Amino acid sequence: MIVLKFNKELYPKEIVFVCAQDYAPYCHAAQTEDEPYLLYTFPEEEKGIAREFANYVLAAVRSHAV
Amino acid sequence: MEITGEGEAVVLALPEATYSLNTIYAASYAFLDKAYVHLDKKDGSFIVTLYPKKAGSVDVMGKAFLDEAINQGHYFSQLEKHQETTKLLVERAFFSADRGIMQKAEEEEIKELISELEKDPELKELVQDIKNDSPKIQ
Repeated sequence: MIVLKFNKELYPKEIVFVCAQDYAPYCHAAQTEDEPYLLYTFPEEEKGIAREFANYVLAAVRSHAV
Repeated sequence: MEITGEGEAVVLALPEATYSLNTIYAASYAFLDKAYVHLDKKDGSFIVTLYPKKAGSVDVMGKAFLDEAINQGHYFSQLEKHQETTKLLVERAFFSADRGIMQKAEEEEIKELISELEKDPELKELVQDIKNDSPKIQ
């Protein structure tokens, strides 16, 4: 199991949600919250996608900040 | 500031007091093609974890990230420093593209100046004379 932890202070919730929707067709991620983190849990076989997702979210957050 | 290796990843702790969030975002963005990047925050520091996409020295990647963070930090500090000058240049560029805008802005400025002068009782008569002589100014 791969768990991505997004600190809400660094990764705005709304942006993460939108990115998760974009990736929904390609993976099976379970979303939970554990203050101050948003957690996305991927199955082990989706490790590659999980990492791509993390980068995707970071790119979105950066674009939004600009 | 700390760099630690975790086998396949390098972890950097960058103090908030030295590096702004925008700097961290910008430096991380520059590394998206070379590594998987994760950000976190702990005890007044940004925690940046880099997982290289290709095999290589994680230590070198960590140091390269620090260089990029300095580069981006410098960029943002210069941007802030020259904000007013940049704004002025951009405004000039827009004005020069359309003379009508400049003319309109000048007319507005003249109107404002005249209203200000009219407030002074000693100058009111003079202003009225100018208005009478110049139909454009009302």
